[in-house]
Amino acid sequence: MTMPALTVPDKTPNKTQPRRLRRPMDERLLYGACVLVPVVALVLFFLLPLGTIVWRSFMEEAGGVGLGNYLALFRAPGTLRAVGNSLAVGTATTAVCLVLGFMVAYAVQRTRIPGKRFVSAALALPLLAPSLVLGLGLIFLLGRNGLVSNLLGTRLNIYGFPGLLIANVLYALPQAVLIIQAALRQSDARYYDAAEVMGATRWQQFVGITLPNVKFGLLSAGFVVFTVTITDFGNAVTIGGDFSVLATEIYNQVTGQMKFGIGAAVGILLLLPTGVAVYIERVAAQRQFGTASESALPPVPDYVPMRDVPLFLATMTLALSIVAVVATVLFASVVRLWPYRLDFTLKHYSITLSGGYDPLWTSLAVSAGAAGIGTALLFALVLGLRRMPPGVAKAVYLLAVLPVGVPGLVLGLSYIFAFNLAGTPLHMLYGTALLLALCNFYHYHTQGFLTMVTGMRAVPPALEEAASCLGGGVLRVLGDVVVPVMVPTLLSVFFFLFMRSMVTLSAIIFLVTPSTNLAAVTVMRLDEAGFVSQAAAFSTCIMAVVAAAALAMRGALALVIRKKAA
Amino acid sequence: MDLQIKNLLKTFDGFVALDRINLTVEEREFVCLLGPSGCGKTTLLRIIAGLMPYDAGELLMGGRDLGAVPARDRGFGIVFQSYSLFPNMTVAENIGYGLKIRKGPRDRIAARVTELLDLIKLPNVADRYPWQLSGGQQQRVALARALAVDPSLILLDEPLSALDARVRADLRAEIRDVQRRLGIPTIMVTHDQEEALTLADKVVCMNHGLIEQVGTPQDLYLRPRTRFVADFMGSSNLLPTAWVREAMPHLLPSRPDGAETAYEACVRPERIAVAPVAGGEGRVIDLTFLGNIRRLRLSWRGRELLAETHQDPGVAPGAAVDVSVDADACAWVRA
Repeated sequence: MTMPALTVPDKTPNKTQPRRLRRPMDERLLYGACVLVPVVALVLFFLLPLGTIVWRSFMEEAGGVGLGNYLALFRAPGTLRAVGNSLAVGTATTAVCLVLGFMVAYAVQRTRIPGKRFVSAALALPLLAPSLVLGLGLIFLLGRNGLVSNLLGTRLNIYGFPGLLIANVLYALPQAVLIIQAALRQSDARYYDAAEVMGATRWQQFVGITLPNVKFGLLSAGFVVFTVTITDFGNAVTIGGDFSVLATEIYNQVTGQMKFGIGAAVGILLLLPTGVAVYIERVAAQRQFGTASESALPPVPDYVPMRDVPLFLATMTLALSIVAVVATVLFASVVRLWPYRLDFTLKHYSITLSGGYDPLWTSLAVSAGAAGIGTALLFALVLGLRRMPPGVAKAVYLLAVLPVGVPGLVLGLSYIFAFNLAGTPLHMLYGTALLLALCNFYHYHTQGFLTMVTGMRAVPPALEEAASCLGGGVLRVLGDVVVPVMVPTLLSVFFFLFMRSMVTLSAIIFLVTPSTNLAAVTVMRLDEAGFVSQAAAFSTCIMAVVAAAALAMRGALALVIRKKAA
Repeated sequence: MDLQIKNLLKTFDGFVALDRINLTVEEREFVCLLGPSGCGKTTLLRIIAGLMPYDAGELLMGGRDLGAVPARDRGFGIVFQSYSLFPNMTVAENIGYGLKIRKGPRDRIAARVTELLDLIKLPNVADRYPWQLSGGQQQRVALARALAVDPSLILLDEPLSALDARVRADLRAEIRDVQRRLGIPTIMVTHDQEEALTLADKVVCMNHGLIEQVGTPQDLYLRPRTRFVADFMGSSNLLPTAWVREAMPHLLPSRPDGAETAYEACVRPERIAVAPVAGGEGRVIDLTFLGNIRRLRLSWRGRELLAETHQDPGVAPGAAVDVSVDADACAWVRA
């Protein structure tokens, strides 16, 4: 048993003066600051904007406070339609993603099909690009002037529900696969050995052991997909066409019609389903991972042709489709006029939009900032939390996982309300790259935080105790025990924040200014302006940067592990 | 220096983990805290190390109150069950860590590391990483790491539990040897009575947060004072007073005064002599061969008794035997 060292509350039954272990001053100061700074930042850059947007949603255009904005919403047929559309496309995407996601995860984790590495790599592709790149690729392939329409001589209409569904599935599938795969990995070979000995057939084992063991994983994946889908902006704006969803509705209300109050009200509306989804997902995740046993042996798959051959074909088709969509974008960026004139050219790489490639450099700076600030704050927070009394730790933990329930669009909008107020000290930040970096960090705060918590759990308490007993002070213990164990986690969190910041569109769409334009926004503007080939070229550049970052992370992790093994 | 523990109280949310413990560890003494899991022995060790606060009582090292001294300033050495070597450091770096913290000169550290590697009989592993060593080797290195800073007290938290039987026996002998040679007072937590008997100068037998008995290994084995100690330190025949009065009256004179049910006679199995006699009162129920000893279950004067012999008693199950117990073979324990 590992005691939460030094945090056990003293309770004396018979009124004796408790002998607390007095921790040295430097230790208390350090851990106090570790928690205080990130919490203050969370309040300033998350709670405060969120509170502001709630307040603004009740501020009526005519002045005064009331439910006017909400009533206006429900009177507008457009909003109700957007709600219905969002729910419809969210549900459909979730259903498709669960079926396909389970299939791929099962094929990779529990069968002996060849090409697993290819499948995993193909599924990682959508994570390297802004979501609208998938929409872009689909339009290149299946759009009115797409490859397929051109070959068949007809004019397919992909805009609207079908296009959005496919794009969302491609975008959300990798995340679903990761979660289901993790759930499948949790099993123990001995369950199957026992069932085998008792005479269960493969199908009985699948129904009786495999499925029940991943049900929380499936639930969890379902909610993640649903949340991602109904809050995604990039795909909706590129391939949604006239099919309006909540995400595009907010954008139109705010940037199109300057109705901030109604925009805020739609934002609050978007907060409800994601909040519920995130909450259920958390509960499900805890149930799922609460059953893990340390001594479990992973099941070793064997080759079953009846199962593996069809799975192989289906999985490969899926992986190849994803590759095709992304590859089409790359290809379209280097041909004269897709899909009619396919001769090679680099002319689309000279961007005609004002600013040219400046947004890419701004994106790099913003992403590096978000990753650097974020990793430092999260590390400090998780480090300090372990030494806090359980009550405080629990409250801070709750605050730290809250941001995942807030869609990027809502967060971005709330930043306008909170920081675009002349006369307040926070107004100085408005329009700066720093605020964009902070917005991106808090958008992905929860995932980074949870990764950091998991990493910190791997630091053996006995090692820290050993260092303390040998006379090590706080900084010693930190440098010699905690940081070495945490290096892979720190790297993962840094690159996660960096890559997400490079590709996200939804939060920062409201915050960019001409001087701080970002790469993903530029792709959208190019697409809107009809420069689709240039949009493809710009997307390619983003993907190149993010892929380079992903490779850098792999390299760094390999280096760390090799050094350890040397 | 000696360690004195006075009236130490520790509770977890109202559950009393250590109930006013009093204990002294003398200079050069090897003390084993022995007891079943949950008896509070590890809690006591962690409090002594400074890794856990306590509610009330005193902790004095050479007369100095340790209450306000954090773990890092106590200058103790500790070895955990899980080895807990720093994975990112070589063996030499692990052993020299405490000295590096104390800002010892580099050549002095190197010399000390070499000296300790010789002491633990692993002279050639200085540049290896912990994962390149076997469990037994890692635990030796952990011991060397604890010894490097000349600790005023060594704390061993079940250091042998994670090892194979053979390695455990070797390392046990080595720990004993090193401790004798260096004369550093040592406290070891264990749940293995054999380990406690072979290593300790003084065994502290604990149960439910209380010390049941403190004494030399001989004391605890031959003269247990409570039923729990008699039971925990090897197997025994626990005989109620009323039965002893009928069946073995010659054991009665040594019985302390007290109510009929307050004390029981504890007779170790090897003190029960068994002789095959035709028409004897006892019956052999069964017989187990354990290599160096043979264990017999007997039925005698209405009770089942356990006996052990080193020689072949020359009996088979069902055989009639005579049973005898010397008057000094019994210890009276509190029931």
